Amino acid sequence: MVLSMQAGEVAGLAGASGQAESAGPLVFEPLRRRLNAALRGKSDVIELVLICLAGNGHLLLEDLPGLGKTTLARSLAAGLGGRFSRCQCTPDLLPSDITGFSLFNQKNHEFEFREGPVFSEILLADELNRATPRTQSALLEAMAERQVTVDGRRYLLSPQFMVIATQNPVDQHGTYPLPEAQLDRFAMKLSIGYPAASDESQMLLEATLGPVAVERASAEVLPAGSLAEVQQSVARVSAAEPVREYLVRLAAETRRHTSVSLGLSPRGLLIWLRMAQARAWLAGRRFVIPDDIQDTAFPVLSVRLGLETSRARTVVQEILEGTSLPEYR
Amino acid sequence: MAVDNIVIPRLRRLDRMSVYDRSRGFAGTAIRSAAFLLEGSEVVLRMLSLMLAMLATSAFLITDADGGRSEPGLWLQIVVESLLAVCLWRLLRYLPEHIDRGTLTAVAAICVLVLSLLWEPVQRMLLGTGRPFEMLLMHSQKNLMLLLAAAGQRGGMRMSVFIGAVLCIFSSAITRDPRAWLATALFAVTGLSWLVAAYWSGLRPRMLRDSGSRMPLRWALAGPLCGLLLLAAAGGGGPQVISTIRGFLPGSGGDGEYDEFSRGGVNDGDALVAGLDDIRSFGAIEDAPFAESDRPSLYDVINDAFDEPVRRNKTTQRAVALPPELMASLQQRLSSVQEAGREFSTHRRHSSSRKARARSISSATLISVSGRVPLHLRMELYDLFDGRDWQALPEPEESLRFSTCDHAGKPWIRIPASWRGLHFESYSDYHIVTPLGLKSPIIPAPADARALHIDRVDQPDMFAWHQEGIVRMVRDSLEPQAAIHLRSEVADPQKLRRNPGLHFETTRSPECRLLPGGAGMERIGRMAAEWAGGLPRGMAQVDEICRRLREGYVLDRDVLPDETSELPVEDFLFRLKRGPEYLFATSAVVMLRSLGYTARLVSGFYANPQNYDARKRKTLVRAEDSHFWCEVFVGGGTWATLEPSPGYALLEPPPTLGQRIAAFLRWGWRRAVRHWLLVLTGTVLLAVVWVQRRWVQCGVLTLLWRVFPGRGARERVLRAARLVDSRLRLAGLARPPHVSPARWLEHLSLLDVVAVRRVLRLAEAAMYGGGAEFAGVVQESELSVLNAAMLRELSFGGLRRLARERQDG
Repeated sequence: MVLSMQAGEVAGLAGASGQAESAGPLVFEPLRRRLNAALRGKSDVIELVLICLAGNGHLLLEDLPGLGKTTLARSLAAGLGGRFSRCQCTPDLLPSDITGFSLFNQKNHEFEFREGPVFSEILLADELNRATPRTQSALLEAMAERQVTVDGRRYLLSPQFMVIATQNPVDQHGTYPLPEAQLDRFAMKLSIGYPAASDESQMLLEATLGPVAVERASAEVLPAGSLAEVQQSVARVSAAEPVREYLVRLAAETRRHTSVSLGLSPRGLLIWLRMAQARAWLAGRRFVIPDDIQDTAFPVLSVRLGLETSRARTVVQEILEGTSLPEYR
Repeated sequence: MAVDNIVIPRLRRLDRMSVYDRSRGFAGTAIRSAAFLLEGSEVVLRMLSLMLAMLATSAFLITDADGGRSEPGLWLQIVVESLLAVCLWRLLRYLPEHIDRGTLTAVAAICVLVLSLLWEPVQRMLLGTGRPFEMLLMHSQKNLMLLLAAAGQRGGMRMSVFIGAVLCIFSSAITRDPRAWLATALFAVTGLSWLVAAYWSGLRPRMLRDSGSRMPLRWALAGPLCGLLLLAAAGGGGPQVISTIRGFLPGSGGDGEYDEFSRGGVNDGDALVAGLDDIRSFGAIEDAPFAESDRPSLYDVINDAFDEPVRRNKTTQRAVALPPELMASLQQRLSSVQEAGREFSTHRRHSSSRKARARSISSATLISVSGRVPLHLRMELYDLFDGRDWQALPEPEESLRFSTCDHAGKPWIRIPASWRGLHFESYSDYHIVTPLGLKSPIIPAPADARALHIDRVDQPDMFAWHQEGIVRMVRDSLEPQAAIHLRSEVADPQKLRRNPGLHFETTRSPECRLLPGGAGMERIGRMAAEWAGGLPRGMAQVDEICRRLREGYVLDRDVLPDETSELPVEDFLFRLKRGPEYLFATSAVVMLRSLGYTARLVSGFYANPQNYDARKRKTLVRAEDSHFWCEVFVGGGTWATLEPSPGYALLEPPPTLGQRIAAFLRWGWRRAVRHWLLVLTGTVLLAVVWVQRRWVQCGVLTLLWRVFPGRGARERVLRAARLVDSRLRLAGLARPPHVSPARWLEHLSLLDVVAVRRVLRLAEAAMYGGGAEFAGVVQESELSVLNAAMLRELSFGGLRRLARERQDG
């Protein structure tokens, strides 16, 4: 998967599609720099994270320990300037530990609601598959509807609420694999992977210099309200008839593929389109092209086709190769 | 105004000198709109000029072909020449601004004139075909006209229309093809519109400050439309109106010079036009009543074609001995037959009237035949022969009744035949015989006709037997122009010859075995025995006799046996060795009878394939096609038709698919051998084109794209993107269907193709961005520059090199 969204391309396309809106893709530039500084040599992963962010989706990071999942989530939260919360999922984690709970106040003899970690812009749910299904499903409502219901009362979450969940593909003992319904609510599943040798060397160098370099890059913060604007702009990116038709054919292909037991759901299709819109927006376009769909295919499909990561890559490639692009007519 | 709205944007696309550029010097919207208006009339003028050139080309090419070329070939030429003109017109837009168009047009015009004239000797040498001088000149004028119309210079357009008018007048004057006249008429009415447009575009300098007037397009179109309506009305007025109008058109002429490539003339050259067939003069004789009285009877036709018989001097003693049974039959027959004039004498002399007429002049058409030819149409059978005269068969005593049957919803008269005995593998055949100028009640039909149909004649009692197997109508003569449909069951000649049931014996027709005696007859008999005696009895002997006659004797209607000769056949066989076909047929019959076969003479008409009129899809039968042949009895009531005269052929069964293919291959081979130089050149060219087919395809696609770049920016961008795709595919760098063009370029590491990438990005915007999104993104002028840069960046040679490098790894 090659994501080729250089700054030059973005600038070049501004001419082809008219001037981008005021909250253009350049608004993400400080955030991109911050994330690149935090996670060396993973610009393609960072682009996908930004796509997920602009598309208002939730992210599942599946990777080995120590590869920077938490770092990525923290940097993202810091760059957005919003609230960041984190919960380490364990079998004894209760739903109320995530959503919040009502506490009896001895002073005024009333129950008052104590907000859980979901009341933030970015929630890092570390090792989500170690939480019990009951706790996992407590996240369902929060992720899907951006609200929680505690003791019969409904509490709205931030519209930009984003869950970054991580899970460890090894050491499966004592874990509760995420159910399909839960997985379908994630927009993407990403793996960060090991950095290249040169990046690791650079990382070690920076470690000896202290946190100065990272701090310098991390100084800038996304202006308040920008994310909401971006997400609204992304929702307005148009998808022409040939693109929609191409997307539908791809979805049909996932349902036809012999290796796939669970084809793409309509909700998954909607999420995929939104991710493609986000990618188009990041490329400075106001319309989706098939390349946007292809570039977001693997992270979107791998989370919901119920396949091993290595197998999923082959299957997604087969699905893409089996579906021809719309003809220029 | 609506028309201008359509025309002006088109002009902007068609011409690289955009309206804006031209009118930049003018201030104010009103003046600019007047300029738009006049530019509109300029485009109309241009299109009309081109249309006129095409019409004149059509008229001229139809005239040039004059029915001598295949229809598809003719129309292909018209379409190709018109398309070339249109392509030239479109391509001239790419001419750089600094080149002087007037000078270029003048140079091109001279080249076209010279090349058109130089092509003729090449064509005569390579193809063996050529054009008469006047056609050659007109061809060069036609090419010049197309060039001038395509170039679109003001003076050039006028010149082109003038040449077109001359071409149309020339074509109408010398052709008989109504389509050429139609094209001329269309030229005339379109010319009216052209005049209006020319007038209005001529007003341009004076109109700049006046935006109130505009070209009266409606009236400019209404006038010609009225003309068209008038023509249509004339067409609907029936053939009389048409022929009256046609009469005012001039006829052809000639100067007596002989040229092998000429179209015709007044002298007796190869292409002499028969005055009797289609008189090219005009007079008030459309309904003149002499046509009926002009029709000859069968007797007249035969006398006309084979001279007149020498009347037997009654006092002269017969020198040929007749056997007693022949004598008895003759005397019995003579009383009835001779009175009716139903005898044919082999003793004839040159008639004075026939000699006077030129041989090459065809006489009037007697019958037309639709269906497969050659065809022998029987009119009269002769059985008794006394050495000089043939006596026709009498009307059959045993009268078989005619009956009707239904076939395809039409009443058909079944021709009964009770004497069917042998079983042959036969095939069905179908002919339409139309009597035109023959006065006879006998239905000219092939020997194996089994049913006939004449429209609205469904009563069997309208028909009677003329002779055994020959049907006549019960009236004075056949109705002229009334088509007679005939269905036949024809025995395959080859299978007939192989039939083991042939016995050649009959008890039915003893007259057909009788021969006069005498030394001459014995001599002929000896010759027959010498020719075929060594062969087994049967068709082998019969065919050998016919073959010897066909190969050893010359058919010549002008050579007649000596008038004093008592046995003209002997004179023909032993002394002259040439003569008319009744002597061939008589010789065959006499020889066959001397060998013990039952044979008889047949007279009638021979539908000659050489007289096939491709335009009418009919074979015309004239008086000189009257013919004699013979029949031999093969048993089972079956008479086999024999053709002993050289130059005549029997109808072959319809060819099978294999035979057709073989015939086609033979035809192709003969053509190839005849035009070997052309074939060689063509093969080499084709081989080059095949080897370089990718280049050729790429060139054609690029040319098509240049000529038809598309309407509007969106379509132009998309077509350019498609061209990029096609070029990559032809170069061997085909894009997989699931990869986008832009990404494919990245995959090919074609990163420095800036214009191509820009075009592809624009195409994405055009394709997926929606109309509103794409509007105004790119200007036409920018697109032209981009397209030119794109072709430079994506040169086919470079792409081929890249493909080879990729293949080599």
